[in-house]
Amino acid sequence: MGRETWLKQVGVFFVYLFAQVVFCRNLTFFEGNVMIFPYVAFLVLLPFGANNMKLLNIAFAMGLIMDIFYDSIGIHSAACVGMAFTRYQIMKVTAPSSGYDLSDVPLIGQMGFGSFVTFVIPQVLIHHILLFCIEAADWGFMPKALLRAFLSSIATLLIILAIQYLFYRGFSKRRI
Amino acid sequence: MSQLFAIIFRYRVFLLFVFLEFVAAGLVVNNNSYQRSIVLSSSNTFVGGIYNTTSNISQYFNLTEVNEGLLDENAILRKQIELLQIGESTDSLKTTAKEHITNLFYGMSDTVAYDFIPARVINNSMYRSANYITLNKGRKDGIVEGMGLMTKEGVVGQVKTVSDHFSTCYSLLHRDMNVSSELKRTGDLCTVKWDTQDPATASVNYLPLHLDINVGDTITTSGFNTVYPEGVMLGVVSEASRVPSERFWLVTIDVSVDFSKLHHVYVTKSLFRAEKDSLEQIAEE
Repeated sequence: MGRETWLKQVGVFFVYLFAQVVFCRNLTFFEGNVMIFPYVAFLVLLPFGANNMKLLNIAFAMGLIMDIFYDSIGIHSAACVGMAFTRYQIMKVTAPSSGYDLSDVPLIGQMGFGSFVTFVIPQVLIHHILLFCIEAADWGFMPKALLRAFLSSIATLLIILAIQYLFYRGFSKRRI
Repeated sequence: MSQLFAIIFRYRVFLLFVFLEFVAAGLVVNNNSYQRSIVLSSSNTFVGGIYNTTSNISQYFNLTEVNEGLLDENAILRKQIELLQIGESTDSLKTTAKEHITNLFYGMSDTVAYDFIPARVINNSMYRSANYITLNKGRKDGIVEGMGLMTKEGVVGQVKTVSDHFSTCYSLLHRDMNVSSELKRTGDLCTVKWDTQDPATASVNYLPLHLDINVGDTITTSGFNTVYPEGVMLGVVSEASRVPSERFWLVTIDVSVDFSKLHHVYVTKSLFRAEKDSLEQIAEE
């Protein structure tokens, strides 16, 4: 990553952090079954070529900051690190035959709706399943936790898609 | 040796992953040791400051509700004053008046043993298995770890960590919360625990089978542990069943506090806590 993109990513990091902590934290629907965590989009949408070591560290830092705000020390960190670790494997599976351009950032305008969703949803699912299951901390509540994870994943995906269409439409051909 | 390093280098991503997951797991497990939790909890100045700002904005939307609550409470306090005045004018009425008062406001038997610090809730969650509340008051306002939280409706939680200006508290809706309580009608001791993962209900443990428990019975605090005054409402029994294999009743209560409408709370400060604790410690030795 060049210096300029690096700075841009730091900016995006804080925007996601702020949006999550100030707005999305208070949004729960259907008796707590649907919560939204669009901050994971920051990690999911880092450049394809992002260094794996850096990715894990960034994920841990992001998770830890979320934990401080949510008073859930360790839970978001574990979920984010788990998600970041599987990102590379998911990239291998979902890559088109020509492979991803490693200098690219995942954008719906470039990838198209279908491949964008297939790239994003496994990661969001892994994050949410880890998050809700670690949180439940009791086998008796696992079915409920899984249900919440699935419903919340759908909600988070919708928010991520909305963000893509609202803010990244102009970037379909340009590279960030 | 160089081969070892080569292997480590090859699996560095996996090793870092395992390392970070272990760190996270360690944090989850040690969440209760509070040296690190002041920095890593919502009572630190930065996070508390953000929550304070956001709740400063959002509190305007709840003003009607808050005002109604305060009106109700004022009415109760007014009644208390009336009763006190009656008590002062006639000696014979004094004792009955006092009994009335104790039953009216939180049902406290020993009002003077507690001081109440009003505080505003600046962060609250209710749909997780470990819910926390952040208050806009901290050590400088006299709040100390372990104090109780209540509203006029009943028990809300307990203070976990305190910074100078903010405090993070266990909500009653936290899987580690145990509240020493009693069945109001008979005075039998029990423990209220939130293991239902439903913000509207909680369960009551250790009520012996020989008791008669009816739907509608009230569970209140026992006042044994100097966290809450005696007789603070916890909830009303909604389900009670005897299961042959269990030694105690399986009781579910409807929690009396509506956590979705939690805006202001009182932090209960027991004035005799240190004295009572040290006395009990001596007795144990």
